[in-house]
Amino acid sequence: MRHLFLSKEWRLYVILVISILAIGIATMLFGKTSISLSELLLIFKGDEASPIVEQIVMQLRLPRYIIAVLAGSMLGLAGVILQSITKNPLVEPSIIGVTSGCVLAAILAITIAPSFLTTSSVLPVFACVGGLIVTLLVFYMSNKAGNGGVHIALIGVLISSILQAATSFILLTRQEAMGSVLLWIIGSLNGRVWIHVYIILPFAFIGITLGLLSASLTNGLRLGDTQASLLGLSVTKTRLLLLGLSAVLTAGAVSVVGAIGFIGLIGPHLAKRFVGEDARKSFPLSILISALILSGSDFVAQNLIVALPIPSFNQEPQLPAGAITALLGAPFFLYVLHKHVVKRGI
Amino acid sequence: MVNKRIYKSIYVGTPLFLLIIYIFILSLQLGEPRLDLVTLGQVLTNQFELEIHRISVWEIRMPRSIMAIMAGVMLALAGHVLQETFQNDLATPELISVTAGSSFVMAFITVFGLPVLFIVQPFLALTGGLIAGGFVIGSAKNSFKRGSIILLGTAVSAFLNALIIIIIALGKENQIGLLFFYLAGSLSARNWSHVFNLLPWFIIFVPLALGSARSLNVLRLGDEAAVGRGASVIKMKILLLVISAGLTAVVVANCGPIGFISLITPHLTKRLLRTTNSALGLPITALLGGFLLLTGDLLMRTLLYPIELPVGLLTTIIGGSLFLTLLYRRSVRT
Amino acid sequence: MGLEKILTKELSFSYGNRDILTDINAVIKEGEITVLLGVNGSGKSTLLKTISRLLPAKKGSIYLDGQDITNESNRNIAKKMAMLSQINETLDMTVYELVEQGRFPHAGALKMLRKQDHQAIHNALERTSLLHLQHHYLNELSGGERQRAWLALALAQETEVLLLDEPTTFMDVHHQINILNLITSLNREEGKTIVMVLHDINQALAYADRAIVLKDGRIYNSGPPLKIITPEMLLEVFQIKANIITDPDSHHTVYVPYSVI
Repeated sequence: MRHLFLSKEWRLYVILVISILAIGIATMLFGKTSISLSELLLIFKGDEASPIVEQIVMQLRLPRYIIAVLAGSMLGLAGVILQSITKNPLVEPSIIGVTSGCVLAAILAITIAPSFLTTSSVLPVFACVGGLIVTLLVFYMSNKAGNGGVHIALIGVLISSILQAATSFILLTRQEAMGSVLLWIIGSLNGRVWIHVYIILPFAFIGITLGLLSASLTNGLRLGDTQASLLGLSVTKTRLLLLGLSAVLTAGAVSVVGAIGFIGLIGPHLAKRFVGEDARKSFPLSILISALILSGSDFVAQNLIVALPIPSFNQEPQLPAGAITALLGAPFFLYVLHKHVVKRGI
Repeated sequence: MVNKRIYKSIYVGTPLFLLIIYIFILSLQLGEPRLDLVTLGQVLTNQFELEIHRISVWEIRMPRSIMAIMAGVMLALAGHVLQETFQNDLATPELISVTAGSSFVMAFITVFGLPVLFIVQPFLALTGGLIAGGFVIGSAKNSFKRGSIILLGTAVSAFLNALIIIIIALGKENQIGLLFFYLAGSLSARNWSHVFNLLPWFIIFVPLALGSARSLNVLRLGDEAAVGRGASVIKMKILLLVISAGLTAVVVANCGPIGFISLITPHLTKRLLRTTNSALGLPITALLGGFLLLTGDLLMRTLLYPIELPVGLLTTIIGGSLFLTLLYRRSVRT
Repeated sequence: MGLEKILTKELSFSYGNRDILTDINAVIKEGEITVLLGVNGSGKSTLLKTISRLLPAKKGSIYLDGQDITNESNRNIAKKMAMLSQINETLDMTVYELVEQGRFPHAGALKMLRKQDHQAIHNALERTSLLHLQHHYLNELSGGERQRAWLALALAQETEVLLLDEPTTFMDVHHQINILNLITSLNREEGKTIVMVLHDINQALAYADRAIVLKDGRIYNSGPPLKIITPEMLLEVFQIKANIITDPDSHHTVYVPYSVI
């Protein structure tokens, strides 16, 4: 039996990795300029290709794709961690307001701090502070109110809309351009280049590594507080550590791709459906599924206009990937809510 | 003793009414150019010296402030009616997605430049709002608890807002003003034509909302006891939903989805009057809504001058925080 | 005896496929107190709710004063019959506001309350001895006072018929007797026709003019309680062994259960 389970899991990993790579190749090939497969091969072999094509692939599409994969993974991991701590399938960084907290903090930092700070990996540190504050606030308020399941999402949703309004407030006072507004309000990968890869990379590396290592701690928490502390697990400390970790993951992703929502909802749910509650299996699976969803959403966002050449449309559209994830995620949220509410009668 | 309660709403209502008049006059004075009372008096009696004074008072500030009062009254009433209809203080037009539905329809019409008459637009907005609201209420039917519905509404609104963003990003009129107009709601550049577009709806729906007090009071008994008193509960609820959506849709069509007025105002009324009796509460809610939106808009257009921010952001930040505090305090207490 | 106030003909009700009431032919006589008896799930509350039209009949019809009211509007029915369900929640309203809702069928959704409406509210409050409490909130009242407030709501409807679903539940004996005496005086002094569901068979013996006994959604028997509440009926319907005895002091007849079968 055990052998069978492993093979099922690994089969899923392999399928997902192949799909993510396939999206990657598609991202390189399609867009406003189509590139042939042979040209792409030339570029990767280091052979001579037309400089414009090389520029498009290496400087625009590749970094953007890498960011989509990394940010998706981070948000998916943050989501599955939050869900495991709260045992609540409705909880996800954007729903409980952590994403909005990160965005607001990042925007404040960009407004106040000198610019060299905000184009480096320091920006996510600011975002982290915002994310942590909101995480603690939401958990404090919902614990105090002690109404469990729906309550934490309720408080999060309210906090989220307040913080979003504040973000819009600052963006408008700064008279930002459309692209930047879309990035921070709904999340977007437009105009993300190598520098952004460098910003997100350390956070992705550290966050994902720690997250995967913490899977067994999370499994300990699943036993329930009493049993977990009998096993020598410091429950409160572990929980805080995991909350902090999810805030760090969210902040790192959000600093670069903005307030992309609902990503951390679908991945964990599907993962748990495939492999069950064991965090050692559901964590990596959630990472892969979420990476696939975000890179896929961005691919759709980039190519939807090309596929639908309606004359009245804008020539240089900046369709944000966050809008696509919201279109996928919101109905999914409805579905989980329905299932959750029916099952537990909350 | 009954009279004592009515006096209470008069005690609260009268100063509120005077306050609205005061802020209204202030809103005609403030801005660039700033007018003193004498100059304002001259402008209002058509004895002005500078054309710019006439234009800024008559053409710009007055329609905008009238718009703010009307929209505030309508949104607040829409919230009060819906909250009492479903006996759920989280059931407001914005949280059950009526607002997002209307906003989506309007964004669609505007961005794709559909040939729809200005006067017809609110009807389409109403249709959109009713479909979205009906969907949320319909799917919440089995679990119409306080919290679940707001989350259902959030999901539906998030979906519709994503569509709005896509539409605006796709469209030719690629401008931020439009984005914030349909996501946050704003009163900037509202003129007399907007006022006249709003007016018939105001005249029809505001009296209907105020007149629904008896129906709302009988619904407070709970569905079964209300039927026992001869109320056709389902018909009444549908009618009240339509009244609320009608109030909301026309405001959204003309000013965008200005947030949290409909959520917070009925709460403030109940706290001020210490009663949930709608007959006493509805008029106060109406005045309070007008006052809040007028004041909010005045602040947003004067504080950061020359930058003007959508008033919907302010109402969301202040109203949202206030509401969160109320919700939190109450859930800690019980 | 009195005329037939309410008649049901072949009245049936079901939840989904589960039949709750089957072919009920019940007679409620004018100016009488009729008590519905039966074990839990026998359909007595459902019968009351179907008569009051809170629940839609599956088939059959209901007659009030000889008129078929099966498809009558809620509002017209509420002018003739006042229904009081079991109450266990407290509302955030004052006694006066609660009783005021009893005027809904008369004043409607839009009209202001007229003089006669205020008079009716006053009378209802007076009748239930709640005048001094009229501006108190319901949650400030005791259980007995709250029950009287709901009864006042039904009285303010000024109907000839009162339908009461277990008006004495959740009350201590003192308040039970108090409310039953009030109901009796409404019947004796104002001639109101009263139909109520009671759990306590002794109270039925003491207060009812007529009893209708339900078993498995059908009428088992009906008639004056002293005639139909017999050891055989108690055995068959309630599955208890009991004696019926008369108290020599009060001349009240009571049943004394001694074993369950």
